[in-house]
Amino acid sequence: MSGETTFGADTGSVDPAALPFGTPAGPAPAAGGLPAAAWWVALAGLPGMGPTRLRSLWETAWGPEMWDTVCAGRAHHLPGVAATLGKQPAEVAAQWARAAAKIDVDERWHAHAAYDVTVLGEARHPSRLAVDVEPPVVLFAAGDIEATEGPTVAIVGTRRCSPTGREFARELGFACAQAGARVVSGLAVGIDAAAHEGALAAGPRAAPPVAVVGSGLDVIYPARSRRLWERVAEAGVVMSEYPLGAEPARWHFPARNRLVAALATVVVVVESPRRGGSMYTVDEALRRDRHVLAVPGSVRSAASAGSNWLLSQGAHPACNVDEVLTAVGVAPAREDTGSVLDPRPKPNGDGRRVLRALGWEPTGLDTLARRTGLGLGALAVALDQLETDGWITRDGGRAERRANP
Amino acid sequence: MLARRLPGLLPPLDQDAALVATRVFSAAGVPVPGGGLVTRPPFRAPHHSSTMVALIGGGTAALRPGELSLASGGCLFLDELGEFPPSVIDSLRQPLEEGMVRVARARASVTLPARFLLVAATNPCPCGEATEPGACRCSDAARARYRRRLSGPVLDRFDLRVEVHRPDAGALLECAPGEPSAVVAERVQRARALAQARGVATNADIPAERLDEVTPLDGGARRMLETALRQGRLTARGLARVRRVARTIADLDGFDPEGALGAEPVAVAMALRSDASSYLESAA
Repeated sequence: MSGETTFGADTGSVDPAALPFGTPAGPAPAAGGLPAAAWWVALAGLPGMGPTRLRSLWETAWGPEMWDTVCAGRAHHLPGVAATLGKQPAEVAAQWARAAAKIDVDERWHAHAAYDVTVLGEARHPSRLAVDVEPPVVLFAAGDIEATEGPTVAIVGTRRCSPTGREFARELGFACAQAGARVVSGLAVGIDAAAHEGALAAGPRAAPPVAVVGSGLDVIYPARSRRLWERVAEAGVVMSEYPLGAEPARWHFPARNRLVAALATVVVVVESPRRGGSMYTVDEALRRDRHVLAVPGSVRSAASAGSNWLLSQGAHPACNVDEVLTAVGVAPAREDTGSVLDPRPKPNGDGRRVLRALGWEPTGLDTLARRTGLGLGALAVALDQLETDGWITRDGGRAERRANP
Repeated sequence: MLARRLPGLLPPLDQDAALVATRVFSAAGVPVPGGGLVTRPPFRAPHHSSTMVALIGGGTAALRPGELSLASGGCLFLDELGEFPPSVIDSLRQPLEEGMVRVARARASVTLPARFLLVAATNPCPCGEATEPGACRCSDAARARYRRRLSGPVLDRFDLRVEVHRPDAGALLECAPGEPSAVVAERVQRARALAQARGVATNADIPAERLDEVTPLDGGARRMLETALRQGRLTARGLARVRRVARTIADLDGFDPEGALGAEPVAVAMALRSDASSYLESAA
């Protein structure tokens, strides 16, 4: 397992103590009584500012000095910065100057008082991110930023997952958190949300959940995940590279996914189509030499096309929870009753027949009637019983098996 | 195609309904079939670009009945329900509840009949793939737009909600030829007669407070509904609807029309009310 490897030539040498600003004790007072972080918060809020540009600024000068340069509209004269500004560096610099003129650094800094703000170089900046190949310059955190330290597992996948995928992600999140591995995910709907719900279900004594989001911490996206977002922040931490008020722009998400990969020791892809955000997370994980596992899925399921492809490319299959725990290097907590003491009553005659005909793919009523030879009435009664007992779920007229009796 | 078969299964209009339909046809200037009386249940399928006035009635020169009234006694089919403007979909709610449309204009206010069987079809999302996990390539905004139009109060008014999947090859090859329409129509006629014996035109009209008296539940059916309610698979509003549909299923299948409803028709009625939560609501 190579998860803990630290590498990355350009920033690997960053020693917090050797830097001119930021002390292990926290943000140090600087010009005007503000910590250096205040200027980075302001700079992070400029239009078109992404992780790469912000890093180029950070590598060039320290906060207050860079802020003055930007305000003067001279950012494009700095060679390291100009390289990141695209085809018309002067225009970007002018745009920044215009935006910066309207920003009150002091006010901006105090608006973030409720959140934990760390800057690259400070001791409290999560260590895995500080040594990353593309470290985030500023991090905004709701919750305990120390939650990122320790064994971690990223559980990622598509937003449009199948019920089976959702259940497995939940189970995985639960088992990992219980075994002491922090579940890292992006708080999107689908697999991400299921993994964190599982981790939260493991209780307050389990490992804290870690979320990285692509918007400002006050811009909850998607809005319907508010409750989950709050619970993750309460039990663990929700982090973002973007200041308050930042909208979840499309281009934020690949950058967010790189942080998910950077924070993880192991990345598990539960379900992913051939293209999508999860595949990007996998690319980023491989770049960082992280261990990537994929959960095998049905060959007919579009939601598993990507994860199955990863397996064909040599990713380690995650056929059960224990394989993931072994990859992370934690021992399973042996408290869960699991399948040994399943409280579900065993299915009866018709129920067994239907379950057998169901297989592991969502199946419609007509197909089930054909496979079992049961009449519609008897089939409906059997399905209702199976659903009541928790053997299947039904969604949009199709039944899907949840567990093996 | 499926919806167009429906009027053929319905019994011919009785005297009163035929007169209502004929009056509406005449008022709207729609040609009446030979004989001067509309005796077959009408079938109306307005396009999704139709305006609200075209649907519920109105107009400046003279108040014309809309498609809802023209479908009186028959079937109103809305294809691509998700593409109809939300205001038009919402305007269906009151007529569906009351069986009539009230149109008020500056010059006059009229009440038009609108008692019809509503059938609608829609894709789950603009690309139509949302029922297959992972296959949909629509933007979140487009999916949200469909979700808003198809969820909640409108969807709740449909008693039968059936998700149609792409048939697999096995089903296409093996499936036995279906029953001819005439046989089904005869069954429908019989079920309608049973409903009339209960004092209503169709079982859908049985008032909630009379359900226990008209069509009691047996032990198995009661337990099944209780569990579904407790597990949140069925809402209180859905309960009465499921019971009415179950009564009709029992009538069509030739169960004792006076006896208690068993588990089978109730289970089928619930299965025909599929709630596609995973893509209509959210997965979270």
